Amino acid sequence: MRKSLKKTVSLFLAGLLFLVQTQAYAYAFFPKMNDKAPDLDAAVFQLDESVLDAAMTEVNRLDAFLNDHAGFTYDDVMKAAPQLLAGYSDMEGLLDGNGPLGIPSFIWGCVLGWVGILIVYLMTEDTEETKKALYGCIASTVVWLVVYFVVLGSAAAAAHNAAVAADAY
Amino acid sequence: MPPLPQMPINLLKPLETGAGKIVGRCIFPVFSLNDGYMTKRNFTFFLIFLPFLFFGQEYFRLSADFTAKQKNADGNIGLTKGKVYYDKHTRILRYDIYFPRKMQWIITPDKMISRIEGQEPVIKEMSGLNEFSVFHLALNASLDNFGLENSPFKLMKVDKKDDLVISYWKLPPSTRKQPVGYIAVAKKKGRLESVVMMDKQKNIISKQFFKDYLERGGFVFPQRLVHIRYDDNGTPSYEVIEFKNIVLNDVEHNEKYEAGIR
Repeated sequence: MRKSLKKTVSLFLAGLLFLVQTQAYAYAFFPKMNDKAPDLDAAVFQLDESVLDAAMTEVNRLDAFLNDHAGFTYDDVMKAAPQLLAGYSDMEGLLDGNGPLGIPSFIWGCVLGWVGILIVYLMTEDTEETKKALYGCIASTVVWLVVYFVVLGSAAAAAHNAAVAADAY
Repeated sequence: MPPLPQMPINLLKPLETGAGKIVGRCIFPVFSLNDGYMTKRNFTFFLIFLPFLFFGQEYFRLSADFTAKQKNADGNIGLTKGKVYYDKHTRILRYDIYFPRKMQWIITPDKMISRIEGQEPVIKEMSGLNEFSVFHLALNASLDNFGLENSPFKLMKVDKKDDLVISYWKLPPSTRKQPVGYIAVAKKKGRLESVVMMDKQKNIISKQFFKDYLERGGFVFPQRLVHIRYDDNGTPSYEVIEFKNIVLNDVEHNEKYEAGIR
């Protein structure tokens, strides 16, 4: 009977400790994670091809011309059909690589997935914030280890005292 | 030498006669059937080679003709055409561009080399970009996840609308400087269909669509990527990247998968 009581109290305290630890951690470090998720309509995820075609009319016309004239460069098109280059303004950006990290924008689109872009951005443009987050993570781990052992020790001592008291009774 | 013990169950009996026998010989050419019974030794070999029978094809190289089209919110247009090469082992990504001008961009694991025809190459230090490329992810059959498991995003909820399975993700507060607050990822029949990014006020700031999937064996690749970005006034900018003539495991142009300028 006493053994069962001792085991039950120990398990209860351990469970309580675990619950408090995990919940406190979640609320301490992810306080805003509990807000409501966005709820988008299915139509948002559908591509409207007609709108896209309308927007890309000039570019598609230039592309079709280049497909018919393989190997033509900008200079060649400028001589043969300059009207197709009206509004074409990406030459400088493409050539000097003025995009983020010195990478041209088209390579950003081609090379990196959307998560990759964010990860690289986090690791470069936001270095201080990333470092702080890393230090914060390490510090919180140390604090929680200390708290865990202190509280676990107290719980074990309390359980032991309860068992001793029960024995004495 | 004592005879090897026989398997108690005749697993391959249907493959011993008629057309079944021919099929059986094609599938298990190295295994001899002993009176319709498999020996333990042969069965062991069968188990060892089983994964290779079904998953033997590895895709490690990809080349394709690409076209990148742009239409900015201010009405300006952009067009880039050329050929792209990628090797997942060397992690070298090469763009041979012919429009608007002949030039090369080579991105290695630690640097980026660019050269316009007739000019000296420009080299910049850089690291780790290619692992997030659509080419690397596709060759490693992890395009559906898009590297999400390695991202700082946390899953908020999963929803189903029509034939789409939509998962909502959020950046943790430690990255509060980022313009992106939420991301919604829609999959259709297990394939990545679209990605919607939202700011912290849940306004849509960009959409990406993955269309015209090419499927060859275990290789799955979207041949058309559409990216729509919205500025502060809600005016969209469009970027469309198309891939054609995709060649897998190209071993005829080894020089294209090396870092040298050619």
